[in-house]
Amino acid sequence: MVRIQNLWSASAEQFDQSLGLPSNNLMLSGPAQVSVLADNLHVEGRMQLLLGLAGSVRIDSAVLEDIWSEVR
Amino acid sequence: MPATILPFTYAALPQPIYIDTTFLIRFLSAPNAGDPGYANFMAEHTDCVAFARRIQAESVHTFISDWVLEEFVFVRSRIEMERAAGAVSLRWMQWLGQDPSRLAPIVDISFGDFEKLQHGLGFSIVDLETDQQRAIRDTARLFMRRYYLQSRDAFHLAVCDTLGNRTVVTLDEHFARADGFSVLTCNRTILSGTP
Repeated sequence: MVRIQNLWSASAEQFDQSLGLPSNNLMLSGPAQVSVLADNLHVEGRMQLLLGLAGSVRIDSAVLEDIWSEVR
Repeated sequence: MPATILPFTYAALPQPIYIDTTFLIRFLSAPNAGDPGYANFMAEHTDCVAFARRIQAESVHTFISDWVLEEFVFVRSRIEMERAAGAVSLRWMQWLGQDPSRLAPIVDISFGDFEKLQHGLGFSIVDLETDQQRAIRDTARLFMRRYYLQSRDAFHLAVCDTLGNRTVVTLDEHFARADGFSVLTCNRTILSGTP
């Protein structure tokens, strides 16, 4: 559990870097402000990413069930 | 006794939550128009999208294991192969057999979607120690016998059990047999209590 908690406590910037993504706060200044704004940008960016992904793969339910039957 | 069944709208979400592959795939995929199973598929997809937004909005702590990653890539790759093969009236194995290098871009698509999901949902991938892996193997064997689970389902629950977590978000009806676990779901069959 310790290792999971360490990941959760990582900052948004660390999280981005761990995924090889550019940091959100490169253009901001001031440590406190940077932290708050970076988190806001991070959340908004994540939400946009999520909504763009949702339903992006189209497939018939029967085909998907066939694939799942091989998983189980 | 079965697992404790919780709807996605359950107010006080236990944390952390283990995300099962079925949730990720249902979030990512939607039915084609004309699909006979359209209504239920779309209803579950819509519920998964709403729950994903909730995970984000409420900063719910979620995690997965490598077993989820492996299942996700398997299913996502197969979806892509079924689609490509179907377009030229072949079965996926025939299509891939003609040119195995066709798999390369599909690998990129599959892992790319996974990484986007990871970034969007913010889940962690648990990094297991050797002694934990040993415990997980033993527990998975126990859970297969106790709950009559297939090995992959048993390994998901064994990861949770070994890490002291007992809440799983899933659409898989088999998890509903796991006494002592909480199953967060939008699967109507599970919610109706007749899996």
